[in-house]
Amino acid sequence: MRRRRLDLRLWAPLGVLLVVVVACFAGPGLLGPEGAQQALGERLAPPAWLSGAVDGKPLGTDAFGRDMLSRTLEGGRVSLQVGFGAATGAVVIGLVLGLVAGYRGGWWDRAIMTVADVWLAFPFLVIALAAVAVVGSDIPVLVALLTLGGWVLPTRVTRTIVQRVRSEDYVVAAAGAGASDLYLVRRHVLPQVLPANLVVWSFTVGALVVIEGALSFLGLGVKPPTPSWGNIISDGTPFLETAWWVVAWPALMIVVTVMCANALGTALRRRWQTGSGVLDTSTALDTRVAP
Amino acid sequence: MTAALQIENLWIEAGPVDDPLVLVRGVDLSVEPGTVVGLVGESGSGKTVTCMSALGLAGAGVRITRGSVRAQGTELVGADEATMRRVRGGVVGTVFQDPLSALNPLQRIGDQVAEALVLHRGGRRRAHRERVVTLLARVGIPAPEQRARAYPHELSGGLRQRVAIAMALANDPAVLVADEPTTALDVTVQAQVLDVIRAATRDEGRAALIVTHDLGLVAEVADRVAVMYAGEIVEEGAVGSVFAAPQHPYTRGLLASRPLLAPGRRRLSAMAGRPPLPGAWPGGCAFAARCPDAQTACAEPPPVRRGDDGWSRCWYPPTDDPGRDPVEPQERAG
Repeated sequence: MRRRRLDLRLWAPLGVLLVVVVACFAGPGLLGPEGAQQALGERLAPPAWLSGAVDGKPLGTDAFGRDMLSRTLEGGRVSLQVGFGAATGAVVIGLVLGLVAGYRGGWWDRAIMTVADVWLAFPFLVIALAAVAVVGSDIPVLVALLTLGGWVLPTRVTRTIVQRVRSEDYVVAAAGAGASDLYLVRRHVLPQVLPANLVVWSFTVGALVVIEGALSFLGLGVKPPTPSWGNIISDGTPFLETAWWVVAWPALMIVVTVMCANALGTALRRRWQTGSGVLDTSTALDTRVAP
Repeated sequence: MTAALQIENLWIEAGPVDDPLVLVRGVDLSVEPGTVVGLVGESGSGKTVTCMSALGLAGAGVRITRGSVRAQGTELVGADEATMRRVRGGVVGTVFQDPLSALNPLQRIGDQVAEALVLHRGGRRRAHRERVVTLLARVGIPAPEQRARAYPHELSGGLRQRVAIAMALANDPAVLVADEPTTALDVTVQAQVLDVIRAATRDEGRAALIVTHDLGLVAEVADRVAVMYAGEIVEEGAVGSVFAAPQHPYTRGLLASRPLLAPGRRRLSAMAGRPPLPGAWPGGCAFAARCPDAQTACAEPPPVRRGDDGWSRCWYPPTDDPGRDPVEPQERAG
């Protein structure tokens, strides 16, 4: 194998994402439990480099005197669990439905794609709000809800590729050698749809982290005191003029995470987009991941 | 002797059930062990769809409405998936037109040949390595041990087609069906691939059905030839007698329009008109509109006339008309 130069467009966003994930899941534990404790004497203390800062709370404190560093990292747990979990769920569902629609065709194809079209016509955020109001907002509920918000794109991408691959001569040739449908899908079709779906997964993570933030901001995400980036921002907005840092850190984390997820998706797409158009995602990805 | 592949009165159609497009109208064809049958015809005459439908590989929407296909006695029309899977590759091996696209570009060729073995004999791919190398050697691939680890793009077109033939022969099928196996290859390589196919049939007692539009290929490898026109077989017979004395005017036209390196011929003769499209086939003889000898009777379906060894579908075969010159057999040496 020929060695390639390290592709920074791929590895930089991947590295930053890994740092974010590790920091959010390991960080609060390392910082100790004090960060989550309220300290009403230290309310809305600014970050360390401004006057009036409190020792041991380098990014300032929120309205209850809790350490912003520890809150922000802990808030990331919920946002990332929901974002990555729901994106994975959406891609898995999309893979299965796309394979069935593209491979079986006919009635299955029409049924699945009709549901997908109807699904996109619904205002997803409004439905999500209604659903959360009814069934509550635990992390599994949020993951399930956002999975439902993201399955259409991977389904469409998978179906498009499967339709092309299934009529390739080598698939027909393998069928001519006695292969069953399941064998053909596993051995010849699935390897062709996985790269595109990894790209879709990456973009979906970014989109769903934003949507989770929006739900939390509207008070329909996880319930306080459990922090998530969205509800920290929501809690901080009344103090935006006097204590910008409460909103700034979680907002910055959302921006960094989403940008890295999108950059990773773009880099993967570029990497796999060979001359033959093996990755037919470029047009499909222009449509929105979710409303 | 029973035929290895027996097609009887096969009707195939596509499109909506209430308004179908008839593609093949009552094809009869049988391939005996140890013989090569060439199925020739223009594009759209239904030759490929006949073979692919017989194996259930024609794709969605193409269906057999009547008739029977038997491979080594097993009826394939209406057979369940398990039977079809056992027959495909096991009883009937298939070779496709384009050797590059018939191989998965992401898999080593040895693995792909092994795949054909795994599908019928079970076990792991690695367990079949020895037989894979034997198969690759049998179809004339040099250094088969090394080549088994190559990817399709590393091989030439001819070698790729040999790999495809090795896959088709992996489970010693009784019948080899090849759809235009040499069309995508250049002429010198064509001859080598034909040698491989011939060795796999005559020498090993296998039956072969070769779909082609190349009459030179038929003359070279086939024992019998069936000529298809507008979804029907219009003439069938031993290659020697069909080429020497074609009974159907379409066969005569095909033979006359081959480019020949003979002195004195300046302009390539061509048949007037175009073949009718599926769905627009006339009621009587389908070739009547282009036939130089058409008469009023040709508006009715022509009778099947049996000769000593073969048959044709024409109202006025040349034997009724001794004034006509048959195509001289010497002209075949092209």
